[in-house]
Amino acid sequence: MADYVSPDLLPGTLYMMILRSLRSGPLHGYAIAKRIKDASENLLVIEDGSLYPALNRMLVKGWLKADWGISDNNRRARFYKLTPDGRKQLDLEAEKFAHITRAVQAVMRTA
Amino acid sequence: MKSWHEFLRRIARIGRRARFDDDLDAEIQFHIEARADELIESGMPRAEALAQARREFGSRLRARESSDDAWRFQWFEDLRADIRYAIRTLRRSPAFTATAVASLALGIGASSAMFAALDAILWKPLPVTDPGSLVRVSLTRAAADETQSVPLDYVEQLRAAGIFTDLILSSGDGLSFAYDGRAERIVGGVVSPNFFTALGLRPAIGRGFSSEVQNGRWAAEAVLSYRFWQRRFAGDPAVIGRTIHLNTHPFTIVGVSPEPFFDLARGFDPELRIPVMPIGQTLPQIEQLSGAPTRRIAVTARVKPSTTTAGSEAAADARLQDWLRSASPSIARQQYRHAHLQTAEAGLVGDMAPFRAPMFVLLALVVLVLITACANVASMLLARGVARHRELALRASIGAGRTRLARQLLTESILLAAAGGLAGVAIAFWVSDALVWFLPQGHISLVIDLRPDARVLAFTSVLSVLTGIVFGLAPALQASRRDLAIGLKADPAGASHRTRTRGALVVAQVALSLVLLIVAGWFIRAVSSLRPLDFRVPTDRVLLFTLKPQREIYDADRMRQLVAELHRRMAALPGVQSTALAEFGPLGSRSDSVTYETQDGSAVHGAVDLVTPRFFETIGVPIVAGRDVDERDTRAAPAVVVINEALAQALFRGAPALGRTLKVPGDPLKRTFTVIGVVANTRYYDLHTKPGPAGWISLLQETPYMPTLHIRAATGDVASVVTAVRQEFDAIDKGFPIFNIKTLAARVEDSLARERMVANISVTFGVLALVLAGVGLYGLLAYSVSRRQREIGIRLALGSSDGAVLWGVAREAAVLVVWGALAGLAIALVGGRLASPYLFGVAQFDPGVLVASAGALGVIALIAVSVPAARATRVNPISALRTE
Repeated sequence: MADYVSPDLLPGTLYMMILRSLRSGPLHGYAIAKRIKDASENLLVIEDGSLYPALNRMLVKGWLKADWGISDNNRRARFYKLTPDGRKQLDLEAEKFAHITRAVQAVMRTA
Repeated sequence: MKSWHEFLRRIARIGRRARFDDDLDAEIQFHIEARADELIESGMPRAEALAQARREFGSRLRARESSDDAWRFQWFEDLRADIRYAIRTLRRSPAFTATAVASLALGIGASSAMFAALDAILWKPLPVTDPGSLVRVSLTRAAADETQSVPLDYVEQLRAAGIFTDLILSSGDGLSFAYDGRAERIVGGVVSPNFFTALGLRPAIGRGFSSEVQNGRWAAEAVLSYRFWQRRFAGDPAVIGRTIHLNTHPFTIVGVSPEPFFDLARGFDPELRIPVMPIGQTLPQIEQLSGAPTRRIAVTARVKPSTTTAGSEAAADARLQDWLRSASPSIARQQYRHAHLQTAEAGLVGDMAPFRAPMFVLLALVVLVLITACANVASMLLARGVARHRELALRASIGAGRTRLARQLLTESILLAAAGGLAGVAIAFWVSDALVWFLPQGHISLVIDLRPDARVLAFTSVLSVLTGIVFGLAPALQASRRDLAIGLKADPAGASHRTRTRGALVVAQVALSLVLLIVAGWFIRAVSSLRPLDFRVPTDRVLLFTLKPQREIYDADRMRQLVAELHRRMAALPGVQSTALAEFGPLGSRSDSVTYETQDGSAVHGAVDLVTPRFFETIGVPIVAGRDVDERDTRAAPAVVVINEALAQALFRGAPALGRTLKVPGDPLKRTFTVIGVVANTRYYDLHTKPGPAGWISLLQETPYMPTLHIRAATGDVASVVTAVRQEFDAIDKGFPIFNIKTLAARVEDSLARERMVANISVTFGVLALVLAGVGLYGLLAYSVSRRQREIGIRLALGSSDGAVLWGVAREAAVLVVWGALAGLAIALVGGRLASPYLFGVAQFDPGVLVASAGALGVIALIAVSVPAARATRVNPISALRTE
């Protein structure tokens, strides 16, 4: 249970990761959570309870659009899609994040 | 932009709230099932897999709530909390709240009243269907001003050309109205039969003109105005179908016009409307009904939806040019040039035009009152900011952000302003009533619709919120700016800074109220300087009766006989010192002017009137040389004229005028007038100009039309003279229309209505501002004394005298008042010079006004100072030192 970190520990990164996971195409909420978990090799697990509020906040901001569709296992599911605004936001956050990571690593190496 | 879209998305969700909840539920359900499916695939039994998936998901309720929060308007929730909190706070200090609300109510109420008046005169659209498409047709002329009296013949051309959707004709005239054996003079509107249908006016009761009338078969139908129906018939619905008599001709009441509708021209509200006759028909009793092609009438037209005003104007002008080519000589004499259309959306300003500039002056003054009121409240809020210092510091220390605190304080201000606005509306209605009171009631009474409406309410609301922001912003920022650490200490730093700001506010208040007082003083001086001294008799003893004998009954000869008989009979009445008739008389609503030409060709334009013998004696104008017109100056005798000194000087340049002869171009009889007398100069028709050249022709040599009988009573008991005169009229002819009975003094006041209105209202504003400034000064001193209790206590304990303490307080006040007075004086003198073109030329250095205004300010300041100063001397040293 202790071998993963909650993304909440890195403020703002949850949005970024959700946006990134949607870059290749629309996904439903569960798939987003799963993709983040898989891609981080089970290190990052989004608490399910915080996923949906985050998605809704992103809908309000206009980064995402949501539409009902049919999932792989033939159930009705709500698919989230990046909007052009969302794409821009992703680039912005990714760049900012890379910047900070480089800076932090530089400090960790030298100081 | 971005946040605007966000706002729209939030709004869009509000209507789909239920659907949103369902969606979220379904989504979470799917999430859990998808996870369970995965667990089942890895070999877990179904029930266990579902339970595990639910556990992993955690609280569904929390997920739902926080998803919901994402969409909510946080500020809206905050606002509600702020308002609740503000109401509670304001309730806790009722004295402060009451003073603030009262100050604001006065300021906002006065402003709203001025807006209501301006709106009624200038801006409010007519309460008719699509007022925006209405235009007034006028004709430009070569030799005279543009006219709105359009010949009926040309109107027919427009109608035939189909340029407009509707052509609405209207004119008005005094009529003798008789019903139930009681006769009175009213203003009747003579309008085209389509008046009510074309304007979309739905009658309050009954109907508009019948379809027969609308189809060109004239019938004696009358539609009453709402207010006349209320006044004369007590709003009785049974009036429909009753017969009334207009100039003795019977008419049937068919309807009552809707309450909000007054007239197409601002300032008018004809008592009733009757249909104009078709071309070619006439009614002997009422000339104005005539449908003669040469008859001229005001035309309001409705522009077709498919065209523009400019397009319609071009078409109407083309028609005019066609028509002028074939026009009769009488038309050609008018020298019409072009047709011109002007918007009639808000009605025509017409007779209200003279009130326009004064209204704007008053609006500017009322803004000063409002600023004074705002300064008052701002000052009180600053004081409160100090008092609430600890509360705010505490709230900040437990995490309230600076903007949050500022917003809380601003909410309180706006709430105060809203309460003030609400009370202000009540005051506005009351003030509007008072405004109507200043409108002159003469030959034709002016009325405007000052009843409150949605526009005034909207104005007041916006004004209230703006006011709240204006006076609340600075105190809110200041109170929330403070350093928290200092905040929790007992004696806040920054308090002295606030006191300085408050001092500046009091200085501003004093300055503004002094400006208002000085301006009011100027206006009072202006009115009294316009009051004429030309009439060397007590004007309140000169009675005026306007009479309109019907032309149909009194032809020219009978009319002259009547005038002679009236003259004789009235002179014989007891209590009558002197009597005369004049066609127009001084300062009436009617006047005339002509060009006077001497034999050697010099010509002067001047006023003219027609008078009987003893006219100058009756109104008290001295005859300087020669004689008055007398009973021998009849049609049989040579034509004579009396001129004033200004005309004599202009024509004869100092040479003796008596016996010289004059001609008047345009005189149908081409007479030569001999100058028989010269009278002193007077401002005769208009008090607002310098006395100009004027001449008087013998009324017995002319045909009177609507003359005014002038009677000078021997004593102040004019009422019994009026009764006696009425009896004489009844003896001559029952039902003889006499109206507009008033004294010359009252006529003077009427012609100064505009100036009196401005003077009275500006005095009210001045007093209002002065009281507000007094309250401001009092508040500041009372506060300062209460803060300095300890200091004063120590001084008293150390043996300071009461006088010294008093002086300490008074000095603080004196500094503020003197600075304010100097600033006010400077503003008034500079502003007065800049604004003098708009102030009827009265802005001048008038020491009397300055001294009086400063005196009034001094008295108020003394009162405001004395209470806190007296309290200071009563400070008990022991208890003062014991506090804290």
